[in-house]
Amino acid sequence: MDTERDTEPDTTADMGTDWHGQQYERVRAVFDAAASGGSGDVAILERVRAEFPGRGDDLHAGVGVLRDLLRVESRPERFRRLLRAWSGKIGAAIRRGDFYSAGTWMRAVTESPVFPADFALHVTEAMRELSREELLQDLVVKLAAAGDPPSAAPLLAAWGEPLVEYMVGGMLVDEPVVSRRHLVEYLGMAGRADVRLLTPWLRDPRWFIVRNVATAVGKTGRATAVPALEAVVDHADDRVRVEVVRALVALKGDEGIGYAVAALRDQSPRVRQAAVSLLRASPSDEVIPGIVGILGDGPATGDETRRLVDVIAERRSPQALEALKGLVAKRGAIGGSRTVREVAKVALERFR
Amino acid sequence: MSELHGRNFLRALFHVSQRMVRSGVTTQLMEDAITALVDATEMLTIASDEAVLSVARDAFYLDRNMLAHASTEFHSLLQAMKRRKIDSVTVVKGATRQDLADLAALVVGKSDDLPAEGTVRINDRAMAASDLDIRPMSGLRKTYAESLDALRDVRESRTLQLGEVLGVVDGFIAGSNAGPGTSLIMATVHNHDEITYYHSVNVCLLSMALGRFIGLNNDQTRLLGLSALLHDIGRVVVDEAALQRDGRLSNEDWAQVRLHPQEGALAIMAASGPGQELAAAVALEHHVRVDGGGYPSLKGRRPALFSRMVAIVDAYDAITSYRPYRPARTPNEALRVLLDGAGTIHDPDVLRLFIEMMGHYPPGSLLRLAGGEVVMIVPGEDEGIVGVVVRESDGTTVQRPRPITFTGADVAAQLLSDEAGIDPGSLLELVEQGEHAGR
Repeated sequence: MDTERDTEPDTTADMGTDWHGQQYERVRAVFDAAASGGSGDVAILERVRAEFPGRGDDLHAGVGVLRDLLRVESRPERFRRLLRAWSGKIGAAIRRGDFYSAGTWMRAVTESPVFPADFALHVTEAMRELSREELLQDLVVKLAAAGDPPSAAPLLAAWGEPLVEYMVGGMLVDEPVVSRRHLVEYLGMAGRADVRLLTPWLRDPRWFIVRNVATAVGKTGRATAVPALEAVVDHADDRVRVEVVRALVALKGDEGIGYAVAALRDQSPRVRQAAVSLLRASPSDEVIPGIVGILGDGPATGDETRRLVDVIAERRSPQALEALKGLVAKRGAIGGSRTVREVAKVALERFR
Repeated sequence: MSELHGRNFLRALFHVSQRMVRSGVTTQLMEDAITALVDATEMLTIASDEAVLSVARDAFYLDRNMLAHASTEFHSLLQAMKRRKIDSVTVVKGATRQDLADLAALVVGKSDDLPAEGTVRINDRAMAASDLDIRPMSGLRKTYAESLDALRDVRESRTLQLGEVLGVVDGFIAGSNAGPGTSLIMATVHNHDEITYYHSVNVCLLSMALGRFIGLNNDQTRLLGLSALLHDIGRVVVDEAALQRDGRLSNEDWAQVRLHPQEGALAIMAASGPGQELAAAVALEHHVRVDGGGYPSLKGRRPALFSRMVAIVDAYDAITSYRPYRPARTPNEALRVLLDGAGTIHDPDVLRLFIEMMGHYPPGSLLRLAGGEVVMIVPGEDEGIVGVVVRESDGTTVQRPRPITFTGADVAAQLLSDEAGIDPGSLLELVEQGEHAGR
């Protein structure tokens, strides 16, 4: 359009006058030289060429435009139309299996919102429309077919509550469109940005929902979920308790060993077995005092005793050696304690 | 009977027909337009009792002579006549106002009545192909017309098919074998009644030439061409009346105009097809200044390279074009205006490259030399300025332009095409004719 009438008065006339003057003179020189054939300037060409668009620039340019439009658009009808275009981008990217692009578009709206606060309701409505079952089904099917690509995590994390509800709902049907293992994986990705999307489901009355969500929470890497998990660590169903302990250890790392050690006292063999596995998997010698303490009280079965002693012996560290010696040196042991001593003795011989 | 009179007749006819379909046109404005058509008809029939204007194979013919350039300039008129199955119009000397008005109404679909007074006759002298000097249009000219159609389609259907638009950009790339200079001359075509469409195509041609000049590859040039062609697409949805108004804009008009970048970006974002993201960025940013001024505000973000390129070309074409509120300016004057904005309005690096590409006197510039000849600048590699003489010092028009090399000291004045009575695009047609005759 015509710059003479379309450009507003220059409000920055006082800013950087010298710089503008220099720019003018530089270009002026070229203008004068152009009469005699122009003058090449390699430095300028190189500067300009450094900005040539490359692979991936189109996506980020589009996201930049979208955010600018969201910021400047003040007409509700046009704002809603813009959101429809945005929704179309996400749908198209999902349908072609481009989860990175879909996630980038999604975050353009959901992360650091730039739109007027008054328009938040339009965004909520657009999210609701975007989260139609057909598209979400397409999403999970394509994700599963693509092998649960990590590149999808930003998309799932940015989608929020509607996606979580869909996936939890998927666990309730007899024949989900993808296996529950996949759904748990996606729930974990969905909770990465805000694990509070998942933790309310830990209070669900259905044990299998709590179990799956606990697993998913463990995959989020968000330690802020620990209190919510601790609240269900004594869940009535041992299948839930197993996953809660695993999630706690996953989220707290070495500091979470105490949950596994405590689980060794659980009445359920399933929970105790899971606890042993968690302790075995821990690289830290911090597990040793906990196990020794439990062995002192005498675990439920001889098999569990052997497995716990093995957890110590497998470490082959000086601390493990000392622990085994201490168990062997116990005098007057009877019952379970005698078993501990004998198992420790065998382990110590192997150790040496 | 000359090509110039044929073009003027078509321009006046198109102008009347456009006023018939546009809302808010006063009776006086309509009467003025019809008077201009009557005047153009008088000139058209000054040397004979009647003139026959034919439509065949995507071109206008005056008697047997092809009006290739006018076919580009008034492409939508050509299309309208084809839609109405008008193969020929015979205009009699002294054609009446009413018959000419009826013709315009018939062409534009406002009426099905034929001119009743017999001074304008429809399809009574349809010529056979053998009666016409039919020759192929250049690829560039064809693509130019297709680009106009693509933009009109957007307006009529209110849908944007990026694939179709990319198709015409590909046509420009395929036609660029003719050399960038040809594109630059072709980009001098304007149409006062369809400013946006012609402006958009010109900006596309010039931007692609600039892209080539700075070293963009084919794919990048294609995206730049798409972005440039669609940079003003937001005007399709902005109130057209505000954009066509004579004189300075009111505050309300100004508010409408300011919306066209975001309307354009939104329209492109809502479309589907490759390259839309960059095109949307250009549509949104082409009125943002490098000092952060302009509109809309990007909160300090610098416009993208393509946007800065298109902004310069956009301004150049706008300044060299007639607008209802001001006359056109010469290419050299336009470069001077751009120069004043180096570092504030425009990116100085890109502007410098643009000026290098265009030269002091861009291809298509019309100059009067000290000896009195009128020359048009053409692309050339010589040390001096290269042009063709299109009018001798005694004022006679040359039948076949002859080349000339001169220096800046030989230039007496720069001329607008209206002042020179010559359209650079029609001279391009002479070159095409010469090439055709030589084959």
